[in-house]
This record gives sequence, C-alpha cells and structure tokens, in this order.
Amino acid sequence: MRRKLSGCVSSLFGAMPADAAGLAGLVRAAVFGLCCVKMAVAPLAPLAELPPYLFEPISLLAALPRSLQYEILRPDVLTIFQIVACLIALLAACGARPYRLWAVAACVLFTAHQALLRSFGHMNHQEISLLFAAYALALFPAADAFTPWPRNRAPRTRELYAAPIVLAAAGLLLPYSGIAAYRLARSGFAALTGASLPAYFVKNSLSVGYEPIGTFILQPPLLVRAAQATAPAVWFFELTAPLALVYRRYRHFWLGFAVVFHLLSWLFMYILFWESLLLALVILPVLDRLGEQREPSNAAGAA
Amino acid sequence: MTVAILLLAVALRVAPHLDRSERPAAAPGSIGGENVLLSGEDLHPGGERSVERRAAALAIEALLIGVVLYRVLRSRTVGANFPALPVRYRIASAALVCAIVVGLVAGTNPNIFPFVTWRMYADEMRMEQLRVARFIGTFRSGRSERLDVDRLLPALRPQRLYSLLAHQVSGIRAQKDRGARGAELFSKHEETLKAVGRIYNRRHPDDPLARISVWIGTVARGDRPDVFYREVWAIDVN
Repeated sequence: MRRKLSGCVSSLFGAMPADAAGLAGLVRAAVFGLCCVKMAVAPLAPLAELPPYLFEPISLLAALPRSLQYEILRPDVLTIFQIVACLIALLAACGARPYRLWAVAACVLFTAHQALLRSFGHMNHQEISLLFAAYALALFPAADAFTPWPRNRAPRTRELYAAPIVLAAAGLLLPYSGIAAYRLARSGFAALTGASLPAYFVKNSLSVGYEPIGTFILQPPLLVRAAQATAPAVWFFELTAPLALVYRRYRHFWLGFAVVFHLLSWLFMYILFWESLLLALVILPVLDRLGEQREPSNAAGAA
Repeated sequence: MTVAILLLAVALRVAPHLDRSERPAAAPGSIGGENVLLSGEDLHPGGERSVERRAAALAIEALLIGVVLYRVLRSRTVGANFPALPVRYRIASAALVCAIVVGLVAGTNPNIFPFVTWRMYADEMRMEQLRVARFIGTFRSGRSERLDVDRLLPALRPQRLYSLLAHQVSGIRAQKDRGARGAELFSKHEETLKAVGRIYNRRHPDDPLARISVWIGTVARGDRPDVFYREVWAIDVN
C-alpha cells in the first residue's frame, strides 16, 4: 500500500527535472507563476471607487509618506502598478537575467499587492505561504536551470539549489502547525472536539448566500457529527505538517490529507486556499526527488 | 536555535501585556481607524481572558511549535542541506525561518505582514451566538434581491468587502446608546453602502440600485431549526 502510494506520487511527477538545479527552477517557475496569476486575475483600479477612509495602509504601504499612501488609490496608478507587478513576476517565473533583481522586485511588489488588499478590512492568510515560498526562492540562485536562459558556467553546489526548496516547503508547512498550536492553546479541548464547527459551517454558508446548505447543515446532525469526528485528525495533521519535511512516507500521507482537507474546507466552509494546495502538490513531490538524489539506494528501494 | 526562536516569539507576545492595560488582541479587524470590530460581543464570544490563562495558552503554543520545530531542525533534511551553505545563505535562511515562527506566535501587528499570526477559527462559537449580516438591494424596477457585494470588486474576494460591511454592522450594534461614536460609525457605514450602490449602478445602468437594506440573521434551534432574518436599517443609494 505504502509502495503503491509512493509510486503513484512519483509517477504523477515523472516529468520532473532530474537535477537539483532543475528542481529549484521548477519550484521557482511554479511559485512566481502563481504570484503572477494572483496579481493578474482581478483588476485593482475599481478599489479607487471605495471611500478613502476604508483604506488603512499596512505593511510596506504603511511605511510610505501619508500623502503618497492615498496617491496609490488612483485608478491609473493602480492599473500601472498591477501591470508592472505581473510582468516582473512573470520575468522571475521564467528565470530571466538578472534573476535576483527580478525575484526581489517580484517579492516586494507581490507583498505590496497583498498588503494593499489587506488594507481594506480584515487580515487573512490565503497567500501567506506563497509569499514565504517566494522569499525563500529570492534568497537563493533558483534560475540556473528550467529557464530559457540556463547558467552556462560551472554548476554550483547541490545544497544551494536544495536549500530554497526546503525553505519554501517550510514556509508552506509551518503556518499549519502554528494555527493548530494556537487553536489548542486558545480553545483547549474544544479545538479537538470540533464543537464550534457547526456554527462556522452555518455562518460561512449564510455569509456567502448558500442559504439551503446552511439550513441543511442545521437539520441532519449526522453530517455535522461526522465532520466533528474528523476534528482531532485534522488538528493532528495540521500540527505535525512540518514533519512532512522530515519523513518521506508521512509526506505522502500529509499530501493526501492536504488535498482532502482543502477540498472539504471549500465544500463546507467556502474557503479554498488553492495556492497552498498547488504549492503542496508541486513542492512536496520535489522534496521526494531531492531525497532520491541524496539517497539513491533508498530511492531504488522505494520504487 | 529552536529555543532562541521561541524565546524571542514569547517575549514579543508578552511585551504588550507588561503594562497590564487591556489592549485589543489584534488590530487587523479595525475599520476606518476604529477598533470597533474587536469590542462587539458577536465577534468575541469567548470574552477577555485572565493573565494566567493567557500565559498558559502561550506556554502550550510555544511548547507545541517548539517540539515540531526541534524535530525538523534536527532532521537529515536540514542537516544535509544547510550546514554546507556559505555563511550568508545560512544567515538568510535562519532569519527567514525565525521571522516566520516569531510572526506565527507574536505577529499581531498588521504592519509586519506577512509575518503575522495565523488564527482562523480558533475561537469557540456557539450556534446561539451566530449573527449573519445580509444586504438586500431594492432596484428602481421594484425587484429586490440579495446583493453579492464581493462580486462588485473581485480584487477583494473572497468576502473581504462583505466582511468589512458586516463588521461595520457589528460595530454599530455594539454601541448600545448610539452616542457620538455610534453616529460616526453609522455615518461611515452609510457612506460605504452608498459607495457600493454607486459601483453597482455604474456596472448596471439598466436597472440601478435604489436602496440597500441591512438584515441580521439569527439561528433558532428547536424542533425545526432555522435562520430568521430581521431588517435593522436601510440606506437610500442616491
């Protein structure tokens, strides 16, 4: 069973680059590609139509002079910012030279983009793992392969390519652990019994206008009890998420959990962190491949 | 290193409480510079916690993250890849991990985004405490329907504009006497709804919005559990 699972994950990503430089390039393309998509999908210019007092600049935007903060909210400035940010993220995704310049610029612009959205209303975490992964990749040379402009000089050490992948995976996995630890610390054993789940199901379904689903959840208790029964397992997988960096077999189970968890969260809570899911589907199998390179004998055994 | 990271995180988390003043747990929810969101009963069903309880919670949180982090830092995945790196890369890697972990434990200030706490669905919530805001538009043609405000501004999806309006509603309802502060909050809320109306009307000139009414839904649990809505106020868009 375990071997089948491992084989399945490996065959799904059979076309993966063979060397560490290529794997770092693949992760770079995926991460900055996702940043580009996130910034391109919705126009920013309509934000200028909101009353200015709703705009409370945070993060990089809070560091700007007060007069400049409100200049950002002009439709033309927002449109130019969006186009430039998307182009730079695309250059970083492609591994254009000089890579470090485009990668750092893409990180700054993506952070500013996300800070801009969070300057209206509440703080959420949907893109935070993606930001951490982008930062990790900007710190290291991740554009020597898997790019139209590969490095022609002598290859660097394997560790320089492996480290950003491990760091990006840590950026993806550590936040899961953080929320699980906080949930237990804040709510005690209620976090493990899922006592609040029905209320959150109903609140979220009614907030987005899915009235029939909200009232349906209220009525047949079996569905709610089934969801509550999974709460301890969900909490355990969240808390131990960083162990997917350490144990190869656990990584495969965790990936399966992540797929089911995110899809069920989408169905019942109307929350889909699709960026985190896609990142997990790219980065965790890449970690497997890195491990195979380090331990060829084990990899042969697993296959 | 694990201990150093956690000590830093704990110190930063404890620091705001040293003067023993009651401060909001986090600012991100504020609207228009007001911390109204954090005072409403709807949003803080658990209420304020004692210092001892907060300390115990912090200790549990730090311990759980510490155990997991310790195992990761001692693993071969880290051991095989990081010690061989040039010093500047090791420092940069350690700084990034440190910032992520410290942010997860102590990052309650939104200005250090993205190194912030991740606390979704951590509070207990009972069905009886549930309050759901709904915005119903009445159009010039006379028809009425629920407004999906987030569809108007896709950049703020999912639910950012809806949550902002819903939090304004909670903040106003939390001001029992509607004094000067309540009036100011209501005025901002009214202006926001009018802006939503203007945005809608620019996109749908054929049948523009004339009025937006705000409804609050509560859950009644009995033989036939259901959601009941009542209108709390309405705003003319023009």
